Amino acid sequence: MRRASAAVSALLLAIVTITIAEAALAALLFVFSYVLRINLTLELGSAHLFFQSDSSAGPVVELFSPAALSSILFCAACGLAAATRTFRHWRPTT
Amino acid sequence: MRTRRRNPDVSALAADHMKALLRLYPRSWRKRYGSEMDALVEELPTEPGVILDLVIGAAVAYAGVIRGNRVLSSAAAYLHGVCVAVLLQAIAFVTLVLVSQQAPGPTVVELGPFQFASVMRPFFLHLDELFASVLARTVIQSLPGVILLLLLMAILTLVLVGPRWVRRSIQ
Repeated sequence: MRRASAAVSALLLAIVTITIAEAALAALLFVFSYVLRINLTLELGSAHLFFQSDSSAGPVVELFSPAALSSILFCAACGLAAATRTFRHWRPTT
Repeated sequence: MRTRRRNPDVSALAADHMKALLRLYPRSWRKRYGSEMDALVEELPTEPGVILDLVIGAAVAYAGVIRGNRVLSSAAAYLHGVCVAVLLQAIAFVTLVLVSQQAPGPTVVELGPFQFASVMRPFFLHLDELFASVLARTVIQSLPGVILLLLLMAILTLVLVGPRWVRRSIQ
């Protein structure tokens, strides 16, 4: 029971962290679009998010669903790799 | 930590505020050093430098507690790994925009049947762009992107090196 609750807690932590990280990344991309004067389109499944900068002559950058999915997987993989490495190489501090 | 003679005009209220900062420290740390710290804080003047010392000390104490626990260390490493991943993706986005600015046609990033991103440039021409030299146009267009890229790389370096600094400061 204790192990199961620990596993659920770890899973929840992982999911919440990835969600916050993806939201932060999306916010960063919108800020960058404003700074670089580009028109950004984010495709998330059937939903589309548009950001139109004040410059109509700027390039149009489109990020498709596979990019969003691979971004989530990349974040999870990096986090898991770092956590596994630390868990394996951890030594008690003297 | 700096110690000085107690200033007589330090009010009891200010001393209470200083003691309240000790609640920022981890519970295990307070159990071990709490009484000593209480006595030390009473001797300290209420200055911004001392308050900053106490806050930084609390952060270092928490880092020590996290490092001493295997599960907490792994959770912290997970957060660190995710932060690095976000920064790497932001760098990739800015690099894509910079590369597409130099490309004559549309830039498409794809792997097999999966299309990840595309960058299209508008087809109409501006007269001022037509008369400006290619070099000047490239430099002016790329400058914000290059600055952003350098800033992101500096932040990434800081994020990668930061934990080592904290580890050294604890040891």
